[in-house]
Amino acid sequence: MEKEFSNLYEAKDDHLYRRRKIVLLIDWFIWIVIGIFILLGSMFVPGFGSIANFRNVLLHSSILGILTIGETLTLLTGNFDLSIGSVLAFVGVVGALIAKVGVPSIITIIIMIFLGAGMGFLNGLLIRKVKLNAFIATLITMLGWRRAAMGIVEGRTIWNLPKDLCFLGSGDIGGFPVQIIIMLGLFVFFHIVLTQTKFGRHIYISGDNQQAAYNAGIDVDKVVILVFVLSGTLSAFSGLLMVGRLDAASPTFGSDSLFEAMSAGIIGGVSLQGGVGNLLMALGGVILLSVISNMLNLYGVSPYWATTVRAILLLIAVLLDLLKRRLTRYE
Amino acid sequence: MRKSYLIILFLVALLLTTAYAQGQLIFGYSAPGLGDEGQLNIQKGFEIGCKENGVKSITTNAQLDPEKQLRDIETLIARGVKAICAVPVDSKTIGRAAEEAMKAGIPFFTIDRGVLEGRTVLTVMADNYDAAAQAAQHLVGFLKGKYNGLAKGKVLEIMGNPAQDVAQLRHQGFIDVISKYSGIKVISKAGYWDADKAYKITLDVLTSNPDIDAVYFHADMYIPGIVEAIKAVKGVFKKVGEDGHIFILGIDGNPMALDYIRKGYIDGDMVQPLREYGKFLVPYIKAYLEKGEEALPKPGIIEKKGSHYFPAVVEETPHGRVVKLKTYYVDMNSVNDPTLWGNIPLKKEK
Repeated sequence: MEKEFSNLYEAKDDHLYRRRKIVLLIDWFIWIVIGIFILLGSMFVPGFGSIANFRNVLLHSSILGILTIGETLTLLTGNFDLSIGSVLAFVGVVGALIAKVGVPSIITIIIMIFLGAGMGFLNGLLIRKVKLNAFIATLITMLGWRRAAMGIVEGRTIWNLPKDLCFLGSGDIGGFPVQIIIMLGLFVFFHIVLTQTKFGRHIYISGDNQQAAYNAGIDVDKVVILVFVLSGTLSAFSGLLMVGRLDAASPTFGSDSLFEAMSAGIIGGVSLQGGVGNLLMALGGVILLSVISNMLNLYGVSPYWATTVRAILLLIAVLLDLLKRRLTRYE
Repeated sequence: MRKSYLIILFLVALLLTTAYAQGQLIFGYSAPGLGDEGQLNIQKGFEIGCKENGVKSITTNAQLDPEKQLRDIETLIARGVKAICAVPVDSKTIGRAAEEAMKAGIPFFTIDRGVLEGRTVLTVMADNYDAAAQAAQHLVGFLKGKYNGLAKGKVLEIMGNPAQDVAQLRHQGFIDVISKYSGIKVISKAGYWDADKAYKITLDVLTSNPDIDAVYFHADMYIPGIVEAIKAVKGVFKKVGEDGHIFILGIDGNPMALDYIRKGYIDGDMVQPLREYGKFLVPYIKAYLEKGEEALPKPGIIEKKGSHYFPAVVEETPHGRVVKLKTYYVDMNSVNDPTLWGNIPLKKEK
């Protein structure tokens, strides 16, 4: 009898240990997949394994990465921001027009960043103060800003911009592209904010259980609005990089960046229900999508399949999220 | 008392404007989407054509949705316009809209793109296949110049959306010419009319194929992406005529492309008659409403002295009569031609 009991306890511990191991594996799932892709790529895709090509993968990641930080922050609070691509386009077009008039680039950049912050603030107000659903609120701003950008320039592209405005998007420091440095820097900064600061903890709690956050004395309105301001600012920053990278601005810029940024976050394990996920994994999602798009450019696969591969990855990510929630529920 | 006077005055004014509107011809224009420079100029061309002929035009925007375009056209029919001109989002589904318009007794026209289902009275478009073939011939010339008369080299083609007939024709016309030269290798990638995708494609392909000799693009919007990606990979950008220059040419003829030619970044561009379609078509619509079938251009060739877009070819097809205007090549020598639409600001168009 006694022996049976001790067996049971042992079994239970073993079970728990196994469960924790699976959870850990799920947490790092994205980097494991990236490892597999890089291995396969280096073996079968000509030109994939070179250092220059890894630089290209990071260049693919830079703008998507910055947008994904903003999207991840909003996802963590249990919301989402559909307007990121439109903010990128609007801010890019307005910034380019201002620069064309002869305004010094530093002032143009400041105006662009504040414009993005203001647009994010509007999203936050619509959601928390007017009490609109995040989907409706950011759908309105998504449609509104892109149409406004088209209206302002009537579909025209603005080109030939000041060199110093383009520096952030196309310049390099000692041979290393500035846009990659900025992207990695922002990931590190926001990772520290999320994991080491009170504000970061408040984001997680607000997204996980709003009532609990409220009871704990957290001003959820303030947290969510601030997160949308950050998302708007980061989108504006992406717009600045895109304009610099292409030395041009068009209202069509960033048309499918929303879908890509959201996929990157979710594939990286950020939960749509809020409160679960972190930026290190979201960065994994960004790198994975960039590796795939880079491979498709190098290899003769029909580009239609890129979206299908992404859909499959999304499905796997969501299923793993479900599994993880089940495994950790009773601990 | 004063109030009733005002009301009577208002009613009279209303009656007069309605009578005026009925007296004036109204044409409907269904745009596929107005987000890019090409469609903007095509729409403006139609508007200018209408103004020149004393016609009022109403424009709808389908926002790249074939189903919305159908509803837009139904709205135009209900509005009682005398003729409808569309740029189809989808060359097949537009057939139903054409059918409904004809049933309502409203003649249906298209510009820029043809229909693959149903019938139109007249379609005016550019010969995309021919434009691509001409671009290919110029490219072969460049390569021969580089390799002492030998037609060889490696070319990157950045396509539009491969599901659309425009991209298919701009691909096929190019490939049909290039395939005659076994020494030229073409790498084709779809850019989906997205400037940033063009940047990424050029970046990746140029890194893994440093020996690329030329880039052929399906749309001007790709140019900044191509130029910046070459800078990013090679470190410097060698302009036209410099040693190590990568030949760049394509199709459209937008003001931006002309500027890039002027500055020596790209070699040339096939100019499409974007603003010409509407200006050319509107008088025919007007004449058709008065005289019917006989007012349309007859199959054969239309000559027009002093215009780059002629001689135009008129063909009878199962989907109605089609006029194909000519596209022509612009390079450093001809880029300052004041008759190029890319050199005429929209505000200055009469």
